[in-house]
Parts: sequence; structure tokens; C-alpha cells
Amino acid sequence: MTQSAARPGLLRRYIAPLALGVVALAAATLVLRAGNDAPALPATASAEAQGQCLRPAAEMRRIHPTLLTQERQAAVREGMRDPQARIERCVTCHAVRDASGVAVSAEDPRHFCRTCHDQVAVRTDCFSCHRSTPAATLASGAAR
Amino acid sequence: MTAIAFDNLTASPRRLWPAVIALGAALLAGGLAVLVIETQGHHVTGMTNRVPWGLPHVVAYFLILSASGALNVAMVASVFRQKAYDPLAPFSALLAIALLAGGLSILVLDLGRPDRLTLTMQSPNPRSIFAWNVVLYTGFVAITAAYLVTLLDRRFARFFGVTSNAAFIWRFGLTTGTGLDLGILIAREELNSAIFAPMFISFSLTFGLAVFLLLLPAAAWLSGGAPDHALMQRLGRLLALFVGVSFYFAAVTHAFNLYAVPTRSLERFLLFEGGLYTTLFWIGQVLLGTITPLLLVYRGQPIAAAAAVALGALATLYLYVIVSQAYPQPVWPGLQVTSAWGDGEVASYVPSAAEFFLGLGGVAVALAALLAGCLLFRIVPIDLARAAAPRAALRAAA
Amino acid sequence: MSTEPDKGRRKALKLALGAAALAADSGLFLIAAPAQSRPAGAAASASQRWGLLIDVSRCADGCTRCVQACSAEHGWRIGGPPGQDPQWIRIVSATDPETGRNVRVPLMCQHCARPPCADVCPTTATFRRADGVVLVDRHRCIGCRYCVMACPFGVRFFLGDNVTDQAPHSPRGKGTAEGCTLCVHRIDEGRQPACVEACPGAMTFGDLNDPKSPIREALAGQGATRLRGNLALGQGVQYRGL
Repeated sequence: MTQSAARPGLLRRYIAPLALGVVALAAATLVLRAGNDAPALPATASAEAQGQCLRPAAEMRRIHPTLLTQERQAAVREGMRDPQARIERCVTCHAVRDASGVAVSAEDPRHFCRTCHDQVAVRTDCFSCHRSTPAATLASGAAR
Repeated sequence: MTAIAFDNLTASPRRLWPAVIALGAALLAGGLAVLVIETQGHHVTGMTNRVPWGLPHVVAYFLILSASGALNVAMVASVFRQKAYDPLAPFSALLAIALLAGGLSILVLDLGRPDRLTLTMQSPNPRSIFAWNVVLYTGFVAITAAYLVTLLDRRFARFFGVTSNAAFIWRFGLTTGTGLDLGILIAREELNSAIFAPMFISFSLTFGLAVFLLLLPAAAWLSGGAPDHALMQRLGRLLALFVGVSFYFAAVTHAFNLYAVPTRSLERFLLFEGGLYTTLFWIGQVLLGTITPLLLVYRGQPIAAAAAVALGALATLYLYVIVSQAYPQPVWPGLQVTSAWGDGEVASYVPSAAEFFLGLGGVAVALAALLAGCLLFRIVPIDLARAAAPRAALRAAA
Repeated sequence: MSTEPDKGRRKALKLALGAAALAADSGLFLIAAPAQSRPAGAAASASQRWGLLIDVSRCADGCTRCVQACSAEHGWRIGGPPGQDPQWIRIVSATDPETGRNVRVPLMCQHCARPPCADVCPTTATFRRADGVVLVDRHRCIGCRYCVMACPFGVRFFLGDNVTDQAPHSPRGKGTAEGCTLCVHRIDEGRQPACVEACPGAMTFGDLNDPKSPIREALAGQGATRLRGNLALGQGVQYRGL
């Protein structure tokens, strides 16, 4: 089966427009993002808690998924629990409180994790099981 | 030698559109059921912590067993070299893939966290039959699809032998794995036995052929044709043979359970005292699933026999899946136990609407996949694909 | 500037502690650390095997302190419709029809040495930790409920409801399997499970590998039985007085 001479080849018909489209998208993304840094984080850590995070903020932003994965592997499967790395500690320091002083849960878009994760559209699964507010606000009166 | 001609199914619109609309409605209902179950949690279903597997699993097992059995006609044609069945081999292979897709879709969508499936299967447990089933099911689809390609595309015909033999062996592995799903549960009196492997192979042959005998005429009906009468009678007699073998397994296992002291009270419950379950056994499994099909085949009505077998199949699987959970486990031999949890009592299980529609949606997935395959690809033999062409003219043209 | 988490440091710590454990095992140290606590941050190891001994003859009529304590500790609800909500520990009343003798048996995850639930779990979410505790890694659980089917005691549960207000040490979420954890968060700190702490005297907890532990001393006198012993599962939970 021979191609007719008048019909452009596969390259021109499909691949070139596709490549052009991809380049255009990339360029548009760069232009739109110009000047946009990572979203500004609310100053939620209390004054006493400043500087007590496992890592500096910029590093934490990049590394926290890996830290979380490693820590849960160690804690759950091997029983190596690092008290400094408990999620409970994270949500306590980073608690965002509403007007009446009650910490908001992960259902609320003001929650510390959500302020960033909503922006970058990465869904987190943590709080389907883990408590997202400090333990002091336990309504059930459970121990501790 | 005349080559067999296959064609796309040319369905008459008058018959096709109602089928498409019905399938679409069933798929939509299934999708809604999944949405409700996943957002609200399984507490909206009838599946509890005493009966964690329910109607969706029954339907899923039916589809999966039928899948490996539906391939049987193609295996008779390709592995056992019965040329009379060659025209039906592609349809049989497509049906097998479609049924497995339907069954798998139910199992996956019923999970508590289906969004995690691809992530967590990166750490499979080599001791788990469930994990092996994932390999067996996906492998079955791949091998059967490869076999189908060798049937349809002359360029790949040289792989026909290896793919047909591989499909034949794999399908036994798949059904063995499905049977052992239940058989390795040492906790459950009704199940704890390796006999589930060969018994489910027998079931798969029976259920699969029954589904084949229902859906082949259905596909032909869409185009206004009908399958060859003599062929249907032959397959009907084969179905009767499979029904007999399945009955043998069921009869021997039930008789054994009644005889052996540890399982006697469970078997008495199932056969005589179980209310709904007893009815399902005698009316569903025995009458509809065994006696009626044999009579109907004797009277030359294979399609009606297949319908009865399908209903009996659902009853049979319901009994194995549900009664094994509802009947209390023998944790306290010789003692009478009570608790707020219901220890010592037969648990009640009432399927909810969400479960029913989930199961229905899975069946719709299978039927929709089958229909799409028949319409898009040249699967159906030409005398069923286009009823408008008279038989004599086709023979002259060949 | 290290951009990688402290894998190296953690590995070194593990090695050091492993060496220390070996040394302790071999008797180099004359004063042994109390068996119930291991060094903070150390991994669970097979040198410990946690066990629970329940003397049902001491289970007082109407006492449900273990159930209340577990429910308060982990946040699961008591008293739902039978068979519906998870009941990590429940009291089963067992009567011998021939003699009329009745015992009340607290029933929870038996922490088998050869757990059927861990065998059947397709994703290794259910696993047996090195020191004998059978746990569910909820990060991996897909909610297939095969473990609930497989448990010979009916002490495996599936959360079919949205959960809120979780206890911080006991994360629980919809769509995953769960069961008694032997309070690993407590025993990892050297404390007792909540049920044992609340029990007035029927439950004994300890390290089955340590001849001086309270549970071994309790077992040394009379024996104890395991439920469904014919299945040879080697449960860590044993009963006396059944």
C-alpha cells in the first residue's frame, strides 16, 4: 500500500502538531507561574514551637512525604517509634484555630496541611485514619 | 476447504437500542451503588462484621467461574480439535474475557479502599491466595486475548497452538485458585477442604457453558438469527453431563458433612433447619440447578436448561459464601454461648439494594463488554452476524 | 547540607542496639534490663514474645472493665447492633449444658504465632510483628475483608463507617480492617495493655520468652489452654479455667 504523494506523512499530520501543542502548554505554564512561589504558609506554629520541627521549613516542604513514609514503616512494622516524629506532634504545633480558638480539622480548608495541598492538588490520605487536631480537643473524653 | 467467515454483529436497531439502554441503566445503577458504598462506608450494606462477604461476592464468583467455563467451547475447538465448534471459538474467548472483567469489577469496587489497589499490590503476600488470584485473573485476560488475536488475525496464526494450550492450562489454575479462596479457610467448617478446587472446576464448566448457551442465542437474536439447532442440542447434552458431575461433587460433600461428626450440625442446619438457606438448597441448587436442567435437556430445550442452571448456580454460591459466615464457628465445642456480639447464634444477613445493584452492575459490565466486542470486532460467525443473508446464498458464496 | 533523611543515622542506631541486644542476651551484662521495656526507639525483635493469660475463673459476674478500658483507649463504640460495629474485646458467656457451669470469657485477637489472617492478606497489611503482636498496617489495607473471613475467632473487624475524633495513639479509618493491637503503643513504652491495667486480677501480661516474667510464673504452676487448639495456631493469648 503506497501513500499518495499529495498526502503529508505521519510526521506532519500527527507528531508535529502534538509536539507543538506540548511545547505551547509548557510555555504557557512557565509564563503563568512566573512570580508564583510556593504558597505562603500561615504562621501557625506557636512561638514556643518555632524551630522545633524536625527540619527547616524549606527542607520540610520538599522532604515530608519521604519522612512520613519512612517513619510509618519504622513505627508500624518494626515498632521503632520516634516520639519527635509522631503525627500527633505535627498537628499539635501546626494547629490552625478558628475564631473561637478551636483547632480546625482536615475537613476545613484552613487546616495547615490543606493550605498547601489544596493549592498543589495533591490529595492526602493521612487524616482518613489519623487525628488531624491536637488531642486536647478530644470530644469523647477518651484517655489522654 | 472453506475458511470460516466472521463478521461484526449487525444488530437490528429495534432490538439493539433497548438492550443498550437497559445495560446503560444497569451500569448507572451500579455506579451509583459504588458511590454510595464508598462515601458512606459499608455500613449501608447488609454486610456486617459477622457476614463480611455478601451478595456482590456471590455474583462475582458466579461471573469468574463462568468466565473460565465459557472458554470451554473454544478449548473443545482448539485444544481438542473438534472442528464443528471452530466458528464459536472467538465468541467463547470474548465471552470469557467479558465475564472475568465483570466479576473483577465487582470485587475491586467492593473493596473498602479500592483507590489503593495499585499501590498496595506492590507489596503482595506470596502466601495469599487472593494475591495469586490477581495474577491468575489478569493473566487469564492476557492469555485469552492473545489466543483470540491468533484466531482473528492471520498474521499471528502461528501462535495459535501455544496460546490455546496456555489458555487451557491457565484456566484450570484460575479456577483452582478461586476454589481454594474458600477452601483454605480453616476457620469455616463448611469450607475447610481442598475439594473446593476440583469442585469449582466442575462448577465452572457447568456455569460457563450455561452462560454460553444463554448469550450465544442472545447475540444471534440481536441480529435476527439463531444458532444451529443441532449444535445447541449437542451443547445441551454436554451441559447435562457437567450438571451431573457437579451434582456428584455436591452430593458427596454434603453427604460426607452429614456423616462426619464435626460438621453434622452445620449440615443439618443447611439441609433441614436453615429456613431461607434450606429453601435455597432444595429449590435452588437441587431442583432448579440439577433436576430441572436435566429434564429440559432431555426434552430438547437447552436454553431453558441453561437458564435454570444459572439460577441454581447463584443459589449454590450463595450457600457456600453466606452460610459459612452466618453459621457460628466452632470456637466453643460442647458449650452453649451467648454474647452481645451474637456468638453462638446464626447471624442474619439481608442483602441491601446497594449490594444488589453492585452485582447487577458487574453483570452489566460483562454484557456490555461482550456486546461491544461483538459489534466492533469480527467475532461472530457470519451466519449469526447477519441474519438477512439467506443460508443458501452464504454456502454458495463460500 | 543533607537533603536526605537520616537513613545512615538510623541504620547505625539499629546496628548499635542490635549489638547491645546480642550482648545482653549472651549474659555479658549481669543486670538484665526489665524484659517488658526495650531501649527507646529500638525495633521489636523476636527475643520477646508478648503473651496474655486470662483466668476466667476470676472474671467476676457483670464485670466489663476490660471492655470499657479498651473502648476508651482506642475509641471504638460499645453496644451497637450485634455483629455490626467492631468490638475489639467482648465478653462471651459460655455454659456447659451438662453441668450448668458458666464462665465469662473475654475474647480478643489471639495474636497467633501462625495467624490465618496474615496468611490470607493479599497486601501484607495484616502482619505479625517480630515480637508476636498481630497488627494491621492500615496504610496498606485495601479493605477486602478476607482476614475477617479467615479469623477462626471472629475477632477481626472491618470499619464500615466514617470515623472521626480518633484517639491520637490509635488511628482508625473507614475501609480498613482492625482488631486488638495488644496496645502496642503502650507496650512499646514498657506499660501494660489497657485491658490488663483495668482488670482487677484475671489478666496477666508479659514476655513469654522471659522465664522471670509474671506470665511465665503464672503459667508455671498450672497449664493453660488455647482456643481451638486443634488448629495449632500457637496463640499468644491463653486461657485458664475454661
